[in-house]
Amino acid sequence: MPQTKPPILQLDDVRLTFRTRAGTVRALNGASLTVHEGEAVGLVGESGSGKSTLARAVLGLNPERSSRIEAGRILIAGRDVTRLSQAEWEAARGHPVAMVFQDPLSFLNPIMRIGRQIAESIERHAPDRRVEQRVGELIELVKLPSSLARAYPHELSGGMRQRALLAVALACEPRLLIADEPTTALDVTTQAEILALLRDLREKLGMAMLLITHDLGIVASACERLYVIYAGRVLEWGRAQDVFGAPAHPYTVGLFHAARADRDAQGRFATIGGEPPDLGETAQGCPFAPRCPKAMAECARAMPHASVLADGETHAVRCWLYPPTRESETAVERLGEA
Amino acid sequence: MRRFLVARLGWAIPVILAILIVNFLIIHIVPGNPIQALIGDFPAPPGYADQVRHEFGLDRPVLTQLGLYLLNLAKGQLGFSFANRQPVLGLIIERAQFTLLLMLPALAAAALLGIVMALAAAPRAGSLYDSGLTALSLVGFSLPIFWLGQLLVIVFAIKLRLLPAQGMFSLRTRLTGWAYILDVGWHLILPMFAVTIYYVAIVARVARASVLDALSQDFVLTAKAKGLSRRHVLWRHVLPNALIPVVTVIGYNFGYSLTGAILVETVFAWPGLGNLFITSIGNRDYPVLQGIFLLTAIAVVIANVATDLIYAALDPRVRAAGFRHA
Amino acid sequence: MPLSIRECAPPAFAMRRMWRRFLAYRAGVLAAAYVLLLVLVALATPFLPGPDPRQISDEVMQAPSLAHLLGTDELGRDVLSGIIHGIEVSLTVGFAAALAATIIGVVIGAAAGYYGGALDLLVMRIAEIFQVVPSFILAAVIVALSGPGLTRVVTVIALLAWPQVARLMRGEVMRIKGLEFVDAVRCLGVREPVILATEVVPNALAPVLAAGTLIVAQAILLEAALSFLGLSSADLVSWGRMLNSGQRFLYNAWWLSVFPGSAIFLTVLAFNLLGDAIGVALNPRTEA
Repeated sequence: MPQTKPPILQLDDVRLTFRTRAGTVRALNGASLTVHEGEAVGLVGESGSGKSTLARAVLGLNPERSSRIEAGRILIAGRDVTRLSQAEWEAARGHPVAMVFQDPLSFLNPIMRIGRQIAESIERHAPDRRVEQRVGELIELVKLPSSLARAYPHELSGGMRQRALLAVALACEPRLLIADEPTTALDVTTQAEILALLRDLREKLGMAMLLITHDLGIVASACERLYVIYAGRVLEWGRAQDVFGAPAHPYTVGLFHAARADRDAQGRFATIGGEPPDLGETAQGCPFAPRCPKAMAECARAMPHASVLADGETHAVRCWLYPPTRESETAVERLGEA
Repeated sequence: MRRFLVARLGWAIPVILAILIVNFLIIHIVPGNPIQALIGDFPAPPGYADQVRHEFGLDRPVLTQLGLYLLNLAKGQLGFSFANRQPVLGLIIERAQFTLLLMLPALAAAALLGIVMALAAAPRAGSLYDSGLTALSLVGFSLPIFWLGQLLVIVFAIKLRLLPAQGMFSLRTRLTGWAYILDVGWHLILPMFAVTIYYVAIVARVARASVLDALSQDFVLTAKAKGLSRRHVLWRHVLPNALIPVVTVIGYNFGYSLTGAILVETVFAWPGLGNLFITSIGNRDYPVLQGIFLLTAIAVVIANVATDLIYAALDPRVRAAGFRHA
Repeated sequence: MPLSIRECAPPAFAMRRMWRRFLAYRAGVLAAAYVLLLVLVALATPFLPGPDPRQISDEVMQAPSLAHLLGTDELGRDVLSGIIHGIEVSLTVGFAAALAATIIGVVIGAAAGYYGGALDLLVMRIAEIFQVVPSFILAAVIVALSGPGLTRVVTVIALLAWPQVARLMRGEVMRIKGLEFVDAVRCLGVREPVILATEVVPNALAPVLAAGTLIVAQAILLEAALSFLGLSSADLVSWGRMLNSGQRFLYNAWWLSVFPGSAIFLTVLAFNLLGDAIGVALNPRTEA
């Protein structure tokens, strides 16, 4: 099913490095990704895969002094934000792209009332609104009791805090909401509630969402398309139903096994063997090769081009196991837009 | 908030009681006649010693003595200073004003300076400027404050002849109104400077740590993600959070600050508690010395409770917990 | 289990690492050298040439010169000689008070932390009162009423400083007594007081050593302040006492104030640096 709506967010071969005491870390190694208006997209990876770095790069929230975007473009509604000055980038945050974070307690200011924290967003992005009234609307929108405007973060439960954080982001009136592990810190019941709320809000507001998680289950229930990221590279992407139906990359397959906690012949839990790679090494070849059960000689030599798998061009993978598609690489990588 | 206040008073009252008992013990444990500790070494009118002996029940059992002592204190009777021909309580309150006049502006200046320096140093953690700040507080902790006072007098009053070295006002002329206030301010500069340097040592170290801590908090990311300007994030989110530890450190160190001011006064002949203290040492005016200890100790306890209340007002999390954070 | 054994007695490599961290803290090493020098000079003082610091002469109020490197005071006494002889008082008070405070604090803090309960509550309340009270003023009042004397000054300072050590010790003991290896020793049937003395206390000593060094600095500063207020016996040569007489001659003899004050400042700074360095060296969590 070809998408018809224009992209709200587009990452084009983004390379980002961190300077650390131990040397340069390549956190993003040419990551490409597209989110269309109104669409729910999942970004899946283990911890350290670069998924949070990617999300923060969109808003320029990686530490200024130690991180650098070396190459690539980040287009928000068609505008390349990597070329913005610090002040311009500040002004561009929140609208049209807003973000909610993982741990709702530490990400709320502990000594500021919830209502005030929401109001700050409103004053910044929609100053002509009647702030008080709008705060009330937003609190209602995330299904919190209106009295909570006067509460402090520590007085709220984990689920309520996540809703409050969501209200802070929604007050920016975003067209794309980036949610970085929004349910990881919560218990299972609360997780389900927050996911349901996110789905409702998207329908109500027609807002796109980029959901970042390590949990495939969440992606299955909340996203239309997904990207699998590893060592700062996207290894597989496509419609959720296609990827779930027939995961192509050995890494994706491994993730699925780990998620289902499948037992192998010996009765042990299946996990992906080995450790995520040291991102300090110069990346050459497929980063997953050292851990890959199907690794071949080519894998260590070069990173494979994309191979389109399903008809309708909705599912692609970068792996030597699949014959590369003849089209030019960039076209395939932007396949979502087609 | 009321529960919190009750909890803090529940802490303060036993502490004050303990201070009173310590004061009582000093009279009795030190060698010599307790009557001398109660009167001092200044010639007192005949019969006064007997009167005091009776009032404090010095010939009665120790517990009765303690009871009488507390009773006398409760009536506000801290004794009479024959050297100053004045009741001790009134004398101390009169002088305490001058000490506060020296101390409070210095505290305010130190707090401001400490925070500003910490804010300037924070983005450059590990830099030369930053290590300079750490070194400064180490130096401040090691400086004998009275010596610092002497150095300031030698440099600014004696060598450069910029500022007056001693006292609180010019003796040659009688000034009134604004001229008087300006004159006092003029005399205040050097001692206040000495006290401020000393206080900055306490503040700068904590301020540096708390600014760095606040800057690295996750909520700063949320604030940035909302699109708030860097300035807004710094003033509305980072600074209020960073100020809380600074305010509490200043409050909890009220005794330390007071001691500093008292020592500086002796160098500059500033007519506050420190000056009263040193002349009373010279006069063996013991009731005054004990009175100063008693009242400063109680002031410190009150400052502690006040700090807790301010802390609670600034930080909603403490209000909820209702106990002291060390 | 191997971890707990390492905590009991640091093996050679851990000692070397501590030493490297200590050396890396260059200011600390410099401070240690300075302290060592002070100790040596103090020990050698009786054998040093030069005038007796109590010796009155006609050469009054001499500015620093070749004959009197740091000048002379209003009675013609040599300032340099006074500073050298003053080391003794400062170091004696500093070490004695810190040692006494540390011993009291370790014993009381260990008992409170190990046994807990009412004892702990009582001890911590008392410690809190000591920490709230303005200690310098209390010390000055006690010395003023009871008369000057080195022993008294040391006693008062130790009485005021022990709670710092006790609190630290209590915290460490409470932490360590919960560790696995202590349970293991307990299972062997070792009696509680023996466990406390042989297993728990030695492990808690590292931070106590750092705190004790900082108390030396505080004690020296406090003694100097007492002497500055005139609360020391007139026949003792001490730096604070010299500043006390210097105060009267600020207008015409800056050297009476500048040099003894520098001696106090440098010495206190050295012990503060040393305490910090020891704290860093003994804390396994800091990077080398």
